[in-house]
Amino acid sequence: MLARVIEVLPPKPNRNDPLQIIKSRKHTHGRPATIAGPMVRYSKLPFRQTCRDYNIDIVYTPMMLAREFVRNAQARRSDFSTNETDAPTIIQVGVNNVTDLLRFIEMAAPYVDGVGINCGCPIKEQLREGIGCALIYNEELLVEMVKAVKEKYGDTLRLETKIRIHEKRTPERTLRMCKQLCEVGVDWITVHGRLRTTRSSEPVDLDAIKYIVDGLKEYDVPIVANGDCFTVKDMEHIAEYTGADGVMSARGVLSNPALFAGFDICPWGCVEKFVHYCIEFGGLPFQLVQHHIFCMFENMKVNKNHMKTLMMTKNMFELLDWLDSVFDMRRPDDKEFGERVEIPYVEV
Amino acid sequence: MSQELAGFKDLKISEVSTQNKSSDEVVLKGKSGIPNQSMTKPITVDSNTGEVIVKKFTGKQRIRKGQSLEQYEEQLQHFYDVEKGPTVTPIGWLASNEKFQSSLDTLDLEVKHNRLLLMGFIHRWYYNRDYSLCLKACNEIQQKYKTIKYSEKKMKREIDELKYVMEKCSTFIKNGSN
Repeated sequence: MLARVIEVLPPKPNRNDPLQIIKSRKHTHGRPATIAGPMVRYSKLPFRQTCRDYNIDIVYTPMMLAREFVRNAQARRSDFSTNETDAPTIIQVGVNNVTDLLRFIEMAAPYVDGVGINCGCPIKEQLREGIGCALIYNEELLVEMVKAVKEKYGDTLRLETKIRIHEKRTPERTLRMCKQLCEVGVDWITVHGRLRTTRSSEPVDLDAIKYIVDGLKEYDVPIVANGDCFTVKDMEHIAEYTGADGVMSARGVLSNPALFAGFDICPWGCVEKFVHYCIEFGGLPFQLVQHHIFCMFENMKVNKNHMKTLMMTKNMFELLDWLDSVFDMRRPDDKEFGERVEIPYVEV
Repeated sequence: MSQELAGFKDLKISEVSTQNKSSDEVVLKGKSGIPNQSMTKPITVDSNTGEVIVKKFTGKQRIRKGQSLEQYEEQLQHFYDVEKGPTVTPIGWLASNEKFQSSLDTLDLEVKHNRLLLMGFIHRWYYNRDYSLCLKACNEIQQKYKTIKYSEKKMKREIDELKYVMEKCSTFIKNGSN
């Protein structure tokens, strides 16, 4: 074995401790911690920054494959960009072995506030690699990974696992796995109350989440509930019913990043801010910008002809021209930029 | 154990716990009633390099090559010394004309990522309705494109985009929008 010649940075010092945030929000803010969950392709920097303007405590990056991140500079460049205001951020990793995980953390941890292992992704390509939801059926490996990380970093690194449930209502196997994870030092667990095969159109199983929260009372490990959070009322109901310390929304914030700020419908200002951040940070492929706006417009019930035209724009310039032709889209120097709620159609 | 695995060092096979054997079998063999849902428990071949065996769509096993310590340290060094960590993009980082000029002069525009970076500057000027600066920068990019070898088919979308924005900027300037 070679002697190490590279001095690596330690995990981010003076971080915004996400564990402290999750544990304390009920006492300090009278509500659970609010969390924007990881979404493949979508949770990039402009979207994360938009979420932060609307009462979201913690934001996740999209899942990054550890195998690619530690082997390929191009993958690192396209997967992860950040800046000083991008905090608290949890970087989510898809991984199927201890070595890749430790190396991934060594590279990424100095730039984020915590690392989350994805044990919930049901995409078949990942399952075949033993990544994502496959890990909840491979408890030995998952526990071994958490143990290895916590033995190396202890409390200097926050480590989360985001899991799905094995069975409905009283998922005993899931509870057993969670207890094992707590024993080896996981900092918090996010539970998506669906099975690997449950479609998102089926309601989330809050009883199963509550079963896990109740079953882990003896451990000082907070639980975050994930699934079917689209409004503040949903958040309150989920937290009250399950007893979870935090509530995570993914599809909800995709269509309405302002949901945790009490907006049941995406406010217009949110679109303005998102476009502004896309322009300022750069790097987001045009098709993604277009799809983000489509999701927000769908939530805002913009009429279908406009939606069709939106999807026909071919590049950022056409998109900006179209937005300016249909809506009164303000820039940061304009009065009321990012503040208006109703859609400001241009009067013809 | 299959002969394919013979000779691998540090062989460690994840075992399916007997307690959950029946449900695991259903999951691992994809018998959950939903097609294409079979899962893999990766088999660690070499724990020092992260080499594992996973299952392909066809059911055949596939080796995911490991990364030696030397290869990893090379990446780590590149990450710290060349990449200087992850890309950092604060508000205003695309606002500088000097930065645009130096990027235009130094970046290899045959690399798509570099061309997209330059377009980031143009997007920002266009968004902020700074059409004169935008048009000037587009002209410079267009001149630069003429000096590089590129496949017209591959870059068609980018060239069309450039033409579109130049026409729009000219119209806005003519109409006195800037």
